[in-house]
Amino acid sequence: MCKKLTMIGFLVVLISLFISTVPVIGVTIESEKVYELTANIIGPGPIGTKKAENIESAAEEINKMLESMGSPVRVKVSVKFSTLKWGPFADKFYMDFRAGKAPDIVNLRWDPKLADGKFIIPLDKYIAMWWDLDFYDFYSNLWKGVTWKNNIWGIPNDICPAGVWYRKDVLRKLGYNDEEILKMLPSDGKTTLNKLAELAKKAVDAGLVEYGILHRPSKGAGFYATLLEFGVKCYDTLTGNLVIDEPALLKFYKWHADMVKEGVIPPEPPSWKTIHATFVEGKTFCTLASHVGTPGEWKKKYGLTDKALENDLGFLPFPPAVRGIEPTSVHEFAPYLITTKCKHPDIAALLIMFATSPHACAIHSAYTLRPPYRGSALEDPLIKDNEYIQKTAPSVRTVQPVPVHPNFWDYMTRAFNALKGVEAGIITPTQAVDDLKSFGTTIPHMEFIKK
Amino acid sequence: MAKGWLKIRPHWFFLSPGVLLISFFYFIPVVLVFVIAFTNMDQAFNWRFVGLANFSRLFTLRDPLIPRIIKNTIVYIVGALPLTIIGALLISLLTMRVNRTASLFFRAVFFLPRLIPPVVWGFLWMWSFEGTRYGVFNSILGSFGLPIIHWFIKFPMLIVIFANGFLGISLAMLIFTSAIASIPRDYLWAAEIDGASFWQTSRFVIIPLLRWPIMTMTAWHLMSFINSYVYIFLITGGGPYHATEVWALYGYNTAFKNYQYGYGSSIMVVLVVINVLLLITLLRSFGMKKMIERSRIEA
Amino acid sequence: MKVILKDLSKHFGNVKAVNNLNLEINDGEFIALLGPSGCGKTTTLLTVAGLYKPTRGYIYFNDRIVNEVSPKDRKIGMVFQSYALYPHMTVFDNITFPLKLKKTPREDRKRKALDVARLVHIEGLLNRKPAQLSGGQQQRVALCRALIKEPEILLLDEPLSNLDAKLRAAMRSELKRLQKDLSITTIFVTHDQVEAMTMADRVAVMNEGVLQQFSNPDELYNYPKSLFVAGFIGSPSINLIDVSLARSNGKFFLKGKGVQIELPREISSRVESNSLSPQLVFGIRPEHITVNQKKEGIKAEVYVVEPLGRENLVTIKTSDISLKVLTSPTLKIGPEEKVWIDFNLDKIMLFDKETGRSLLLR
Repeated sequence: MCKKLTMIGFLVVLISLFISTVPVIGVTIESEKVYELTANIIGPGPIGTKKAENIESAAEEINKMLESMGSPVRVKVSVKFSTLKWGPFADKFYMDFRAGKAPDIVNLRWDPKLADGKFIIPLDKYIAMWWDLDFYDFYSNLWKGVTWKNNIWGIPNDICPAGVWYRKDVLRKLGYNDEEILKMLPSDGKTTLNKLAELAKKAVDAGLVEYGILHRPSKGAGFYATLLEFGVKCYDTLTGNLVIDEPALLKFYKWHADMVKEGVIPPEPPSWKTIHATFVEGKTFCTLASHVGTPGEWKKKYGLTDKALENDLGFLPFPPAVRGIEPTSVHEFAPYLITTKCKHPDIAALLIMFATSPHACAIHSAYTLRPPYRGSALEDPLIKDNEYIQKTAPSVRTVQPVPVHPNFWDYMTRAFNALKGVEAGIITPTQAVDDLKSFGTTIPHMEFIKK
Repeated sequence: MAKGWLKIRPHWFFLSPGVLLISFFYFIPVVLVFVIAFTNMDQAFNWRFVGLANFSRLFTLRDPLIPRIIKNTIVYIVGALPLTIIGALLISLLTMRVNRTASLFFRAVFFLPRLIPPVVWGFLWMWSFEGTRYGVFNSILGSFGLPIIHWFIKFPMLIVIFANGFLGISLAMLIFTSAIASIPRDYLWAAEIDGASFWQTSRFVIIPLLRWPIMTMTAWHLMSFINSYVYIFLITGGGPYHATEVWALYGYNTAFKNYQYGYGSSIMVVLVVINVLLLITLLRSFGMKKMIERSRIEA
Repeated sequence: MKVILKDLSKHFGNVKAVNNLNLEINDGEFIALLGPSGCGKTTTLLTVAGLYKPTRGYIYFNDRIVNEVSPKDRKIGMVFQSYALYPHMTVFDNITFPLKLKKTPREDRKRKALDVARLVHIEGLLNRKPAQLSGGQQQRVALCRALIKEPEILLLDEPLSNLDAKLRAAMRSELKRLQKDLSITTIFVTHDQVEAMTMADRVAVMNEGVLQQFSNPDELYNYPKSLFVAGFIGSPSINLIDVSLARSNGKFFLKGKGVQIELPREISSRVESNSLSPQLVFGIRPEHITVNQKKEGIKAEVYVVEPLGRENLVTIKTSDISLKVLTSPTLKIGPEEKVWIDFNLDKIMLFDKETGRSLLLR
């Protein structure tokens, strides 16, 4: 019912759009007019492939509609899907752009440099125009992550709330029953990081696992989330400046140093492969390196069974490590963007709209086991009966986007390297904070919170 | 006229491919690096000239990592260079002593690093010393029931020095072995009759005769260790926490990991200047003329 | 020191560089190993030095077998053809290198270096580098280095071959004098027969790894045991003519192409008892042929005259055979002149063509 209505709505929009943009060709000449667009979409890795396929199907759908309307206009889109990592993919985009070979649509980790450097156009116009028709049910907290200087620059196409995965079977071996487990580690995250660490230490000391807690081997949203749980203020939302919060950072580094001393966290973070493999095998009690959708990857690559996922694994948002902090989850956005080199931004926007339709969202969700980024997708038959997706969908609401600032990731890189240095025992927590402080002096407008 | 042209121009004609290649791949990039060093170019290639800002950041130590990077670079070279030269000499001398098959075998083994693609060589070291129990050495320790060692945390610089040293050895060994082979047999026989032991022969006769190859290889590897970062990049990436980050790698990481092309270029400019100074010093102390004469052992 | 080589063989793979060599060298004797290149003479020397291990056989120094003794313990001094002077060391360091290895105190080294340097008159060159020396000086330095150890055996590998002719002649006598003064057993390898004949007490001629003859120079020249030795020794070289032995009327004749020589009785009887086949080689040295214009002997024609100063070397043709003859310069003859030649039958040599063995020796 609802779906039919939206379809009619689409048609109306389409007609008005194409008549307005191509009056001459559309009406007076019978010959076919083809709009050719290009799109570069990143995985990263094969798991994101539906983000690319959705653009292709969007073009097909639009063409079908145009055909049924008797319009001679067609949209042809060539999509390049890349399994590169984020950094190299962005390098390639910037180089393509400078070489005059920018695609019309691109899928990049959101970076305000893209807007400031005039690489992409703002999309407010289309979002406003098609709000009621399409964008109304995108989770509202997601728009914050793609906003910069009062404009919206991208359309969300993926969400993976990062959080904590732990093994219930290990806790059962320690003598807890399921009720106690849920009380200690409730799925809304209303517990503490120290509680988690305490259980991890018990598991390690009992020889049940090799690793108590593993975190990411590289910087990323999940790393930022753990900073938040220690109350580290990295970004001043009022001034838009980055912040170096010395006392909180010191606490953060000290906690990790202690955890290494107690054998809960290893002195060097293992590789992604080891993290995933040992967690699925049950040799790691808890991983802070994953998100709601990671079981999709565990199933495809590490042989996780549905039964084990159901019975033995538990998920919660990052629990606070200090008083006065709420459980949180984070996500770093890599939305669809339209470049300034695009000759037909209207058509590109239309393609993106179709590629993020409730059904397209459901396709992506079903393939990746990540929650949908819009509410109505949950009713799509594709995932309506998928218990896991339905169960984890509300986690999206706890997601905070990472701050949008041109130097933010540079800051995170330094902070993360310092964490590795602390864990390895090469520098003390105090030195780590000092190094960050002197880095801070090289960033304009950096704010400092002193001890 | 035509005759005159032919007389003067042929050398330019034959030189032109080389000249073009060198200008494209050496001179133009070097000039570009010099230009970029005075800008604040970032990942999106946005830039404006910032004057000497990058260099003042380097030299006034407003970059807190610089002292550590300089120390690392010195430790690395002081470690890897003697390892290369002494190691290669030892192997060349010892393989001279054993029988032909054994000597061929050992030389082949020590030459292997040159035949292995750099990425494989780097990963071999990375995997061998991995800090989990899945690392090669840790799994060996594990099979004896010993606890694992976090190699990269305990001995990061040592691992990097050895990984590069073995590569250095492979080339230097080849040069030394062939130089030893070209020493007239009479010298070695004379020493033997005069009562020189193997080590005395090596010390008093062979090594002094290898003076040129040793000097060439020392200069070569000094330059190579100053400039190359590929294997450190592959094995530790400069970590843990800059423990193995040398000057060249720091330049690379700054430009291509932190996307500060401007600042990264200024780091590289310093490297270029050091190279030029070093080259001039080496050419002076070796004597340019002697350097470009045919390679030789003094006999 | 007495040196004895007993059944000594040295093989390199399939190559028999030295084959079953037997040699007895007396204490203080100066012997030369002579032969064309590749005859095994240097291999023999290196085996005596201990740088090569013999494949078979024994080396005795006095009564002791030294096969397993390392070169440095054999009390030998050696001079190489290339001299093998270390280019990075001064003359002094080169000479005293063996002493340095024995950790001799520096004062002793200095004294001994001066002593040996005086022997060969290079005491003024001690601070130079080898590259600053002439060939002859380098040769003396090499000799000093060999002598400073006071060796009991001196091994010389073609030490004079890198010198120019004049220097070589001078060094020959000097070396010989030195050897006699020091009375060190000396083995001298050379491919130059003049060197060997003039310097050595006895000469061992070798060919293809086999010892041909070991005797004093006079015997070697006048009574070669084989065709090879006869042909190798002597300059200008011996005339060799293929002949067959014929007998008629109780007389023996050597018949060759256009030559017929009647043999004296005592020679012919020895030949008859020694020869296995009638195919012989007749040998006569150029100085044992006399030329006359008095029509006595075999008629021949002068082909070339080469004046050597003290005498002339004349090539003479008779039928198809050409002979070298040494004549007095007073005998004025020129090309195409008719002459008559006569053989000094006391000095002729006869060899079995197949075995090459001399038929005149017992």
